[in-house]
Amino acid sequence: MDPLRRDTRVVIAAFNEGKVIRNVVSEVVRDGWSVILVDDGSRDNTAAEARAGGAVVLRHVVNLGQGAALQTGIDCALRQGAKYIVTFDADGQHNYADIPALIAALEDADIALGSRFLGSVEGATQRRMAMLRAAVMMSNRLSGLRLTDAHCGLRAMRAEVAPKLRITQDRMAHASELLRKIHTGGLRVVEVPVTVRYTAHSMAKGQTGFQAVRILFDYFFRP
Amino acid sequence: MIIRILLIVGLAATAWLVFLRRKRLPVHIVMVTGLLVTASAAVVFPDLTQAVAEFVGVGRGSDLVTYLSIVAVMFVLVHYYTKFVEQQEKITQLTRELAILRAELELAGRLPVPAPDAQHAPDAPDAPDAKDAKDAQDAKDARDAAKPAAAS
Repeated sequence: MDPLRRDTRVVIAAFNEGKVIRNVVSEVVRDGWSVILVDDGSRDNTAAEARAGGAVVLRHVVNLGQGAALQTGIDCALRQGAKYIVTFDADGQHNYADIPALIAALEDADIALGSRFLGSVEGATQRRMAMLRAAVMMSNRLSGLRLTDAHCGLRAMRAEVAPKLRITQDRMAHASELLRKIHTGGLRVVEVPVTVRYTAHSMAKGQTGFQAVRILFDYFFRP
Repeated sequence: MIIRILLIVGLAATAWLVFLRRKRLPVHIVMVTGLLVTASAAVVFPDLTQAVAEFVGVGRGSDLVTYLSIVAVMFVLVHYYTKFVEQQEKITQLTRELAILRAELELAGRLPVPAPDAQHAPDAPDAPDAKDAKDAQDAKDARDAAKPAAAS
């Protein structure tokens, strides 16, 4: 196994993804990466399917939210002595082929964020794209960063900076929290073009406009 | 007046509940007693609230009581919201530690890795399709095959 893959852990948080998770995990595993999958209290067979796909599975006994699940996976990766930590979405919207570019970008950065607007988006509706653009504007305002994308789940970070980026937002506001911590921590951040592929499945699991209200509430009212 | 009796009974019941919890700090007991005594005084001598209201610049005694109650309710709400958030953080930490520990024990071979369908809760929302049923059967076969080995 090459040193890059040996020193990297790909963290995936999954909730009720039993239908697709085996494929998502096994694609990444077949490319040589070690996958830590956090099953966030799913009521389906997500854990078993992920194990079948070749992941190390961590299971939250109760559902906590995506932010909490990612942090659990990151903690586990740190305990395993990983040097690079990649986060990857469970619904199949990301491409494992983008991982090496993200890690390569850590050469002179602390964290590399995937950007679908620098890269490409497949299968998104106009409405979805408009919502994403609005989210980017909002997120830049909140975080103080100037980025082309917000809240893309595909990222890579150096293990040393992980403690500075500790996620305390258990649910979806963790993405905004992360950007704010990058800004306040003065970390070096780069954006890397990635391909995001929306499917009927990922669209159904994705965030709706109403949930944005919940995210903003969490962001402002939960320390 | 009947209302006075009802209010006094309510305050007395509150006091009873407070003093049942003996583990409270003395300062809590003093504060709660003070509050209850003030409230009882206001019930028995309503003119007191009128006098205080005029002193602090509120028109009517009952208005003063309303304003103070609203502030008190807001205080209690924020207090319990803070507690609630802290509680959730603790649950997160516990759940996280449990998840990592279990995985580490499984990796070290100190805990058996769950059988493939062990986490299929009976109330799983979607009905199993043909493929799931076959997987479940395969898993069952695998476990049955493993049983004698485990027993020996």
